[in-house]
Amino acid sequence: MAPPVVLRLENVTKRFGLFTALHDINLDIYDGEFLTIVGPSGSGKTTMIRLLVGMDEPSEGLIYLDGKVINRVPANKRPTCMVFQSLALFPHRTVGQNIEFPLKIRGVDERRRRARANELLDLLHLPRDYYGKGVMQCSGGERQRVALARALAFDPEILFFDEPLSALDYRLRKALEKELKQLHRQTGKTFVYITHSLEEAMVMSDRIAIMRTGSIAQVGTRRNLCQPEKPLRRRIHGRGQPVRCRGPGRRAVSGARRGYVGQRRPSRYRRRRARHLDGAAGIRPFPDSRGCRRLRSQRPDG
Amino acid sequence: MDRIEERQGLLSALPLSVLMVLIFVAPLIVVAVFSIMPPRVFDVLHMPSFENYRIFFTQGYYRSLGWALGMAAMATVTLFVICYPLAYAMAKIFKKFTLIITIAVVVTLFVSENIRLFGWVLTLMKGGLISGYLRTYAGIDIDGWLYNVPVIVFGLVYVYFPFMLFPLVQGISMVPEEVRQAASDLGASRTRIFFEIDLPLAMPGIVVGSLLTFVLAAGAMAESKLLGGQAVIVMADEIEAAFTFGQNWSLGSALAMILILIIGSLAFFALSRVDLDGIMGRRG
Repeated sequence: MAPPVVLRLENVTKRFGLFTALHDINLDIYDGEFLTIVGPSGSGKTTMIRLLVGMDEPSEGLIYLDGKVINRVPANKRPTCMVFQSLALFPHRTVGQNIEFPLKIRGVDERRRRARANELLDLLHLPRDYYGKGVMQCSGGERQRVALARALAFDPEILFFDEPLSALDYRLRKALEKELKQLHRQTGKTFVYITHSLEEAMVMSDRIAIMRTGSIAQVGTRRNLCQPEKPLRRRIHGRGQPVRCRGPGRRAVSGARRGYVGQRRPSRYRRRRARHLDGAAGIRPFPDSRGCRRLRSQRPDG
Repeated sequence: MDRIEERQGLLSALPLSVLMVLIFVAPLIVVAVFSIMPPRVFDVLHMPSFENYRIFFTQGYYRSLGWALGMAAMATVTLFVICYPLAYAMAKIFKKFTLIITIAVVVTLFVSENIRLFGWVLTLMKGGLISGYLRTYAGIDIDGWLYNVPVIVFGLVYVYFPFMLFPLVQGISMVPEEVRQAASDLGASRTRIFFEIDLPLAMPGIVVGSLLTFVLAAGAMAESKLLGGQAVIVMADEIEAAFTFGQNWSLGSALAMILILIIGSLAFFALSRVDLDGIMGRRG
């Protein structure tokens, strides 16, 4: 039996003046799943997440949380929380004060706040003596963990992530992807993650929604997305024949990484044409030493 | 090599250092030395005496100091309350309109302070602009609003408005919008965001604006003379009177030293209490 729908978007449209940022979005988010919304820059990912956390209101359509319409519920009244791309930590507060902030807002007493902050420091593999450390003195990865701890201290029903790993180096990003997935398993919360990197999406998600120019082009599990039929999916995966995935997850990831898995390398004409189409769609290919193409986001230094 | 560079650096800094000493430090030293000379002497070749400081307490000059500091504090608080919403709007809400407000405020500084204050005298005096209109069109006869403490505070607020507004705009614009949004997302109300995020992060601007207005207002005298009609005598008035009509340089110097010391200590205290580096995230 499928888990219950916790968040539903029904014909959601968002306009800024004459510009339509989101067009007729329909999406169900299930309880406890790890959903990743992936798409190139300008596809409307951040606009969508801002609607979901309550920082903006949709121009049309309805957003349901646990069956209730929440279109006009402000961000501070929603049981959701977001980890920002910039992390948005409070620079004038210590690590402990940052983590305790949502608890302080709720009027939790100091002893329990401190205990919860220590629990979260442990959970996120941060030393307990970081409690009194200035948050701006922490490294990028540590700040990332502090932002996560702060969001978890809020104990949200749904946790949103707006490309939080995009500013980190490759190795740290890989480590944090793993930790994030582990954290999802440990907490059992619903995670909605936004990224432009299909690789990140493939590694972490239960389901992936692909966005393009303000609408959702495709939603599916990693396995579904391994069988590209439409041009968009093919452009993201790499051109050529559909990739056959035998097992879930692992094969799919490696297939997406290499570009051409279990298939013949396309002719020179087809490769050039693919590059031309990618350029027109705003996707910048990256030829490696073997002539295979990867998305920029999949480059080790990306 | 390092020594040569060090020497060259010192030599290059020498002319400016001498100029600074002559312009800023020397007059202060002269005033400090005069303040410990006996009353009514015009040179410093006398035995030091603290008679002038005794006069400050015995002849009621402390009241003038109290008025100066009290009205400066009132003007600073009023300016903060008035300027904060406007500065917030200029930093976060208004876009092109911010430039228009900036120009409008800066343009007032092109006209001399005294002329602007005389403008207010003509507006607020008995039979002036406001009372004239009220008498003609509403039949209300009033004495005018001049020559009291509130109007002096109003004058200080009016004159030092830009000195509070612009540092506040600068301070508020340093508060990242995403940090405010994150606080809201974590459940904080608007009031909570104001006290927990906006105020602490805008503190550098608030401290600079408040210090500027307080220090300038505490040493101001045109407002109390023109708008207040000397309803109260402020410290700057007393200092001027001691140096001019009173021909008592040593008393004037002592009063000036007291004002400098008190304002300097307050400024030092305010700056030391506010951890600007911590706020800016430069230190943990």
